[in-house]
Amino acid sequence: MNMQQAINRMQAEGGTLTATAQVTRAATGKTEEHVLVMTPQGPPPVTKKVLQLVIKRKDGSTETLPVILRPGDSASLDGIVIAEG
Amino acid sequence: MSTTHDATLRNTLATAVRDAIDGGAGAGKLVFRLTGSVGSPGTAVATLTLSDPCGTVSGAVLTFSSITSDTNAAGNASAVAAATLQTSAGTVCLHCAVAASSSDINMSGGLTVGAGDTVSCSSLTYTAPV
Repeated sequence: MNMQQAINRMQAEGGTLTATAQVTRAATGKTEEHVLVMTPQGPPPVTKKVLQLVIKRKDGSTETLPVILRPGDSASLDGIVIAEG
Repeated sequence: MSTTHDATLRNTLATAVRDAIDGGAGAGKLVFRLTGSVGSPGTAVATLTLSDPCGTVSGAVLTFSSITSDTNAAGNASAVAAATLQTSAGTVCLHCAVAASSSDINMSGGLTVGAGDTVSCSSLTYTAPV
């Protein structure tokens, strides 16, 4: 597994990635050790409401339609707001 | 004579597909699978995460936004033959065929995915029935 694969896996599964790199300075010939610690920095969590619009028919059957509302969205029925994101 | 749908209705159909895929608490998934059906999907081989919302609808076409690759696929010795679009909770909304060409989803680089392989999707659209 190379560094990019390790980073991708950390992003997908979480946890902490610790990598150690050795740098040899050409000018001095001295070797330095550098430790890199990385933690996932994913996108902010998605905020949405998933509501179920259910119509119950006279015969007892029902029809269900998902209504997805995100921040700033609103759902209305005949002009009356019934839900907001 | 074939059955055709009004343009507005076609847009409604594509929107309903989008909302069905987004109907879970999180982002929906594109799952590459072995042979199966919408009611009995085959074994999952690779799972890619969709955007949330999964895409945008215009002209009866749902164009999927960026899809996150699976960089550590489960893999399988058998070839990928199908794919499902499903909610974050795993409810299957669409089931389609996958082949090297002339299929619902065309897959390059071979149809056999090894464990740990990276599987990506460069572009994806759904067109409501005409």
